[in-house]
Amino acid sequence: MSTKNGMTRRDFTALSAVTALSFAGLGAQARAQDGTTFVIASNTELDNMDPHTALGNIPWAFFINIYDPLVRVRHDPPTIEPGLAESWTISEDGLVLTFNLRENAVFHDGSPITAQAVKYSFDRLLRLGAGMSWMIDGIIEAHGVEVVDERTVRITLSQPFAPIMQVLPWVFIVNPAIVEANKGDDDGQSFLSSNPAGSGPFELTRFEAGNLYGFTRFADYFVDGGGNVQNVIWRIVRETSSQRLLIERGEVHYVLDLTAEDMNAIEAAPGVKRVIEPTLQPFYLRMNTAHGPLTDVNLRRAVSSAFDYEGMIDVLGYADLLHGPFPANLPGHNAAMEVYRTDMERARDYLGQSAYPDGGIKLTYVYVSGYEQQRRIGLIFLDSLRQLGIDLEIKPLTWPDMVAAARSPETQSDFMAVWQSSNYADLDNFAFPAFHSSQNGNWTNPVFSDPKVDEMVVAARVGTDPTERTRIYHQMQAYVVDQATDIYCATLQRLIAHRDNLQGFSYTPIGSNAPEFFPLSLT
Amino acid sequence: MLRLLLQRLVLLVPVLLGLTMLLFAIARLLPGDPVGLAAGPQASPERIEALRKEFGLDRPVWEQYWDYLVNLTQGDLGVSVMSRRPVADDIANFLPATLELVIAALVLAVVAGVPLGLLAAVHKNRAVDHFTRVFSLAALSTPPFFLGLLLQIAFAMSLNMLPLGGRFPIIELPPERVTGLLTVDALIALDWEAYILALKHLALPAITLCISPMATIIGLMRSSTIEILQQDHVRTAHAHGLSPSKIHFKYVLKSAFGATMTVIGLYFGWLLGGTVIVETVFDWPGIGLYATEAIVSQDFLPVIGVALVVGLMFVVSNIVIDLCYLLINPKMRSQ
Amino acid sequence: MSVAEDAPPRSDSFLRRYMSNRVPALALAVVVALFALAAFGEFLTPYPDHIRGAVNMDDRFMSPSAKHPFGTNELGQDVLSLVLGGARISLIAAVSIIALSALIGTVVGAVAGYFGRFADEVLMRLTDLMLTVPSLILAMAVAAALGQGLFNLVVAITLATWPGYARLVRGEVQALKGELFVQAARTMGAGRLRVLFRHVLPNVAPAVIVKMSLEISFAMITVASLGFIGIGVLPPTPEWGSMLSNARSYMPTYWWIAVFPGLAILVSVFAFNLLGEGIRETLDPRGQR
Repeated sequence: MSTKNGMTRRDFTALSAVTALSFAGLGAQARAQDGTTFVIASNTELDNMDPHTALGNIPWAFFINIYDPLVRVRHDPPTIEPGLAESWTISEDGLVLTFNLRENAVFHDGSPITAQAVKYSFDRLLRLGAGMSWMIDGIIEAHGVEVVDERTVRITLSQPFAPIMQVLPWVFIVNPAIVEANKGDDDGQSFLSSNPAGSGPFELTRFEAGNLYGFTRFADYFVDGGGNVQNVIWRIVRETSSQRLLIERGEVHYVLDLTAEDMNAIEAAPGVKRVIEPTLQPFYLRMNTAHGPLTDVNLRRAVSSAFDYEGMIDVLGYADLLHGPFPANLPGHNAAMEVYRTDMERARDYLGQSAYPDGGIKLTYVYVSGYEQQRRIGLIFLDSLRQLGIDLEIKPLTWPDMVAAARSPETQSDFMAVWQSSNYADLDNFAFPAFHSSQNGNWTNPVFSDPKVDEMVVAARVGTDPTERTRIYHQMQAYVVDQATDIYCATLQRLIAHRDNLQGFSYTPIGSNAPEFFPLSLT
Repeated sequence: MLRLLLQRLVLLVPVLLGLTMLLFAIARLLPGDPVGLAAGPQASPERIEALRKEFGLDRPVWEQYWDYLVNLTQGDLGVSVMSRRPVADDIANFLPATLELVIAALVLAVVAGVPLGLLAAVHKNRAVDHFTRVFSLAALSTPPFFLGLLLQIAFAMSLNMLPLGGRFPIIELPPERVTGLLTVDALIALDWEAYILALKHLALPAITLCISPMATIIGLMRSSTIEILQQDHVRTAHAHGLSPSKIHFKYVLKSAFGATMTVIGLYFGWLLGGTVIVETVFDWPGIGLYATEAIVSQDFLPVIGVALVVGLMFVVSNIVIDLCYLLINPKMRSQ
Repeated sequence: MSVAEDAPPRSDSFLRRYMSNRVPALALAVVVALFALAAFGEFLTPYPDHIRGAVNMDDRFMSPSAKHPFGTNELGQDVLSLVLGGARISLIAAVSIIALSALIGTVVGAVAGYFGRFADEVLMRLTDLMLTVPSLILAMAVAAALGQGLFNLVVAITLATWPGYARLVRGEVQALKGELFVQAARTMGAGRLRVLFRHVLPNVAPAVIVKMSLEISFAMITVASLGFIGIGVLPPTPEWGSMLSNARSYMPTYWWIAVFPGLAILVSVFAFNLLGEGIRETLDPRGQR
């Protein structure tokens, strides 16, 4: 800030404190930092605020702060902690879960959170069949959720599901009275998509479309303590270079979307703390195993061996090579098997055994337009494939077009660059959506279908014995690697930067880059 | 006069009708599936169908169009498939930012362009003139995104004088919303430091945007002034001993007004729809950025809404300009 | 030609008149050079394979040097080669857009202006409507919906630019309809179409050519703008606007990745602007603004 005019920013602040402005929700507040307002910059707006239809990193960041699930997931490695439920029991066979709700839990309107509200939320989630409901599809059904008494809920699973506790943090409890009052003809979707009806530690008190969201600490939250942060401003800053400048200047406390280059640039910036942590999000080039040249397993092995893994890591910046389809930091990962690494000799050998020994084919590579790293990886891949005599057409698609193309093997391209999402810390999070044939037609697994893999995925999913599950997963990983179903690329590291006066932040690889506001303090 | 105004306003109705029809036809003929995106990646086909039904996208195009028209008469521009927010609300929210930017750019263009054009005319074919011509042509040749980037590198990244983007400092509260134009609102609130802050944010995007109208004004001012200087009555007046500066002033004022009006007529609507790039570079939350985001998600109603509002403002601004001409130059009334 | 007085000046005299002015002559030289680079640039660059998408991960982010006069980018590609490669796309796109717009606009404008009445009413209402639609937003929406690629890009921008030509041609045709030589041709028994093609359209040509030459720079900027927004040509084809956009996150440290494509646009657009001015002054000396 320039001080040429004889007046610093601090003077401005002092001045404007006199002419303090007020606005809805936050009440009277001085212009500028008062030491309890935490400012976070994100390039993404939340289009849909309905916890039962929205899914993804940004929705997650909002929901964990303005809603409550039965149980929460925190820290690294991810740990399940009490949420609305202060305790729970699980039956011997893993099928019956009983949750005891907190006595003092109330919604933002002051009404108590009862077992009926929990059942109401599960019912609505399952009825709408959107958002996270695919995670519990066929596992929790409406009749399986029962109100035992005001404070007790019993959930009976329709079939065993090992990672059930890992997915429950995604089920957020809504205030039935508010939803019923604004039900409309779409089950309250229009209302909830832009209005909260929750109980979380913060309330959404301000909203300027395309610009910012304001949150205020909920005074009657059922957990005492927390940090000194009273207000949170979530500002939309679309350019990552702007985010970098803002964190450097201390105008925001926390930025979500820095690129690898930005992280390098702020390495020595005073007052800035960088958080670089592994995620559980694997990046694949999914191959079309059901249509076109890549149905040939040897061609798939050839391109898997030709891919420039080191070049890809250079492009991604902060990333770890994947060893097989699953991230290495979860139990059940098979570190012993051999995987494909760049080896043109082997690539040519495999190509020789394929139906296209001299190449001479053209394959397509699609990525989500605007994703720079995916475009660059495409260029590197093009360079590698050319050495096999294979031409690569690189096509950016909008996300809806990509999802639409994934619906059938004929429309699906040969390679699709995609990040698998990490919604819960269990290998099933990848095994089922990405490899089970029931997901065909869905972007998570457009075409791959193999009865052997299906069998293994399901066996591990319903298994209750961890050793047995690990054995099955090891077997499955070795099998898909041998089949070269996809090019398993990398897991990205999470890149966060925050000011060094931020306290109480605990990293978790689940969900979003954005933190829970509750424990945060500014010093 | 009033009759003329009424006439022009009545003519707006068919224009609006035609414009909606055209936009609707273009939007509906294009491929793309907004519902697929809005429903989310894991949505079942049933849910996508339900959404399609909810937004009426399963019905024949002409029915959708009829509904759109009926709603339009009540100022309803439909609902965004992505955000489920009414498009009219969104536009009302984003339009002031764009208006502020466009007005600031036009003011800058006039304030800088008129004297420069004048200077060039007075010093016709001399160094100043050549310099001005080359300058304005070079300015016109610089793509806005490149100019914006250069300004950012110079004033935001290196000199640290001005912000990189946005309308107002993040942690500060903007002045209470009256007009939505932050500079105006700050003045209404008599909040000087807010005014300065808003101006600082406005500076670089407005400079980037003003280049094209400024070059046009310079050209217009130059040629019209040269014409005046060569006209007989000026020479005659000169011969009668009237001081040259007085003569010049009167005619020059008139030509400056003409040039300004022409440029505003030409550029107001054009800039409203052309801020997309500048808004992207400077992260300026206006309708251009809003339209871009809608375009990327193939969310058509916001795009149609923006195009409609911009088109309408373009037509209306031309009516206003015509009326201004009439007021200044009553001779045209008879035509 | 039977109407020598009204026909455009012969090309030899036109060229001589044009070249008599030094600045436009220079601009013409730059434009010619640009076309030459677009056609043969691939053979001039030290790293032609970089234009076709080859990468060199060992030489990333090299600052400008003798080996790489414009430096290298995040993939180790020679920026000079990419800039030269980008000239081709930029020119092909801009020329196609201008030619297509002029063609469509001339057909629509001629039909409306020459045959008048109903056709005029319908076509000109449509043209006026198209002119009120914000052109950049229209082009973006169409390009995004059609998907990326050179052809779609050209279609999208043309859709937004043809109405200007239609309006121009219609006005010229209407004015010419009243001219003596046209009426004379009609009374001498020439068919309507024959009169249109032999007598009217050739006389419209200068105005259209002036507009084309003035708008080619605008088309170049629009192409680059769409590239900048991310709705451009398919990778690996280098395109100036998208090169600049991709380079933004490396500012200001690796400035050369953005600055050189930016300068390339500036220089070519500047040359085309001067060329357009020169053509206008030569063909239409009265219309000096």
